[in-house]
Amino acid sequence: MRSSLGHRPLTIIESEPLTPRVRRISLEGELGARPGQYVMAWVPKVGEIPISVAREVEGRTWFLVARVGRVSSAIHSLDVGDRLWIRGPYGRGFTVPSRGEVALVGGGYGIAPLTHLADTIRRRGGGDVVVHLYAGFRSADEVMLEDLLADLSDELVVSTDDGSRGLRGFITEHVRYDGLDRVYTAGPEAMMVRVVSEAVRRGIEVEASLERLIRCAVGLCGACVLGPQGLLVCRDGPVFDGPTLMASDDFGRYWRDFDGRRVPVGALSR
Amino acid sequence: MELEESDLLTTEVAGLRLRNPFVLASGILGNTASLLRRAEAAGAGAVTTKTILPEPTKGYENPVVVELPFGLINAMGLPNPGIDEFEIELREARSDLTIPIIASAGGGSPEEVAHVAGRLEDAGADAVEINASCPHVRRHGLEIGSSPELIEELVREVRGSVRVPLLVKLTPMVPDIASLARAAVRAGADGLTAINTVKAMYIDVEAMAPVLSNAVGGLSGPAIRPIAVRAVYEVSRFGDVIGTGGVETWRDAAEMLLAGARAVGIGTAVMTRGLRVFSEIGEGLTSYLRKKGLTLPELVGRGRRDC
Repeated sequence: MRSSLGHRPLTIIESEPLTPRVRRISLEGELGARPGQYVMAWVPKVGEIPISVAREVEGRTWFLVARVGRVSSAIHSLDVGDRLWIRGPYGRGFTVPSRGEVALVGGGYGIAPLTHLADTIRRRGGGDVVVHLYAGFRSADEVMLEDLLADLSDELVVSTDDGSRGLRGFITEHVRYDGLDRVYTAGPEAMMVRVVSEAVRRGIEVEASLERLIRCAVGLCGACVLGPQGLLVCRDGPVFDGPTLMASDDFGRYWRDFDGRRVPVGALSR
Repeated sequence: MELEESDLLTTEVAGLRLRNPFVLASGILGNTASLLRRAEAAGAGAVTTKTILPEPTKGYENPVVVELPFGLINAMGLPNPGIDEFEIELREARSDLTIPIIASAGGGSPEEVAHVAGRLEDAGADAVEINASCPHVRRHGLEIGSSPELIEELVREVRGSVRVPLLVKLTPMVPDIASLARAAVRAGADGLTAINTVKAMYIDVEAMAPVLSNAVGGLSGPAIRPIAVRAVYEVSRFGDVIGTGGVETWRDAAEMLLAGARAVGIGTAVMTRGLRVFSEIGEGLTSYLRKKGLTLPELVGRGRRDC
């Protein structure tokens, strides 16, 4: 449900490179986002993109912004003291566990919403929750937030595709499912497909945070639809549970392009 | 004799028989069969597709919406997959849904709109709505939609290519909307959808710039409801009307019907209230009709001075 109306300008108080492609941008003020929720960030005269909230702590809101296009590049070039216009938070986030053993499986900057989740579990006095955090990256220079992720989890497993840091190979090869009550995942869709199908096969509850083109963010334009259910990533998601995703013929396969045509995941124009 | 609950809300508009008067408005969740199915499941009486153009169109860059306390300004820029691709989606929708599907047709000339409209009919549309009043895309609306002569020429052209009921969506941004309605009906339209959004702009005073990438967009939601009610009042003597503009509650729907609408479009309320808005308004309107001891057709136009 909508929790705010229109854009609010928030001041950037930190902008720190975490990797050659990703910066951590901290804004002044907290948004009251639940883990897994996102905002729409507008750079006047440039454009607006969706960004997951990565953390809200000590009066600051964190985003991990990867440089992928025009708007994210503009955000990278903003200085401390500049402002970013935010509307939201929007969408349905993760179910925050109150007990049991959970695994958080993230790839690349997909680690952002999982950081928020792990932090929230911790702050709610998550003594009854055992958190295994799995974070996969392409190579050592893309590894981010290792110390924080270790602090926020009971076990941190890092892997890189080329083995230049942590374990070698895709992070999905290293996840131990035995004894888990719930799995959460965010990152490249091919990775999430593996995690979700494995968890569902084992009868473990699982939630994944999806990425699609977000245009209106308020459930009107239909740009982010998932079939055949007609679910809207912007509003019914971005977090969905395993059975919902396994029933979707778009999960792991298709996005909708700006004109609404179905295109294979990852083959997006612009 | 007491009417069955399910019959109490039935209505007929432009030759379409509807289980209830609530029509998903064009531009709202109308781009896929899956979303149209979901609107039906939520209780819509009919659905309108997104406006379909001859070619795939990406629309404008974000931001494409501005949320205001009293409505929404949007400038999507008519994003759509084009008629070739949408035909497949519409065929699927027609085979899955039981309620009428109104397909919205657009284009840069009367010939283009007629071409799209004909193909929409062939793909299963139960009615075609001509979008001749989009306020923020050049050549796709206002220039044509605000002139009775051009509306007449457009409707005549499209009428030549479709047999199913033909609706024309009207802009309120003219001094005399009745003349548009008269022209549309004279040219063969079976009904009118009133109103389209109202051309608007929002400037962020901190950014000192318009928020929409297109600067100008269309205002919808509660802000335009009184304009819509007035427009419906003025055009409903020329033909059947789907009264659209800012309806969020059963009271708003009742007001549209009293003004002369035979059906009521629901758009922006899907954002503010969610898809459950269809069943909520339906329940409210049902108890209103019971309390008044009226059927829905008896309510239509009852608020008019000339009735």
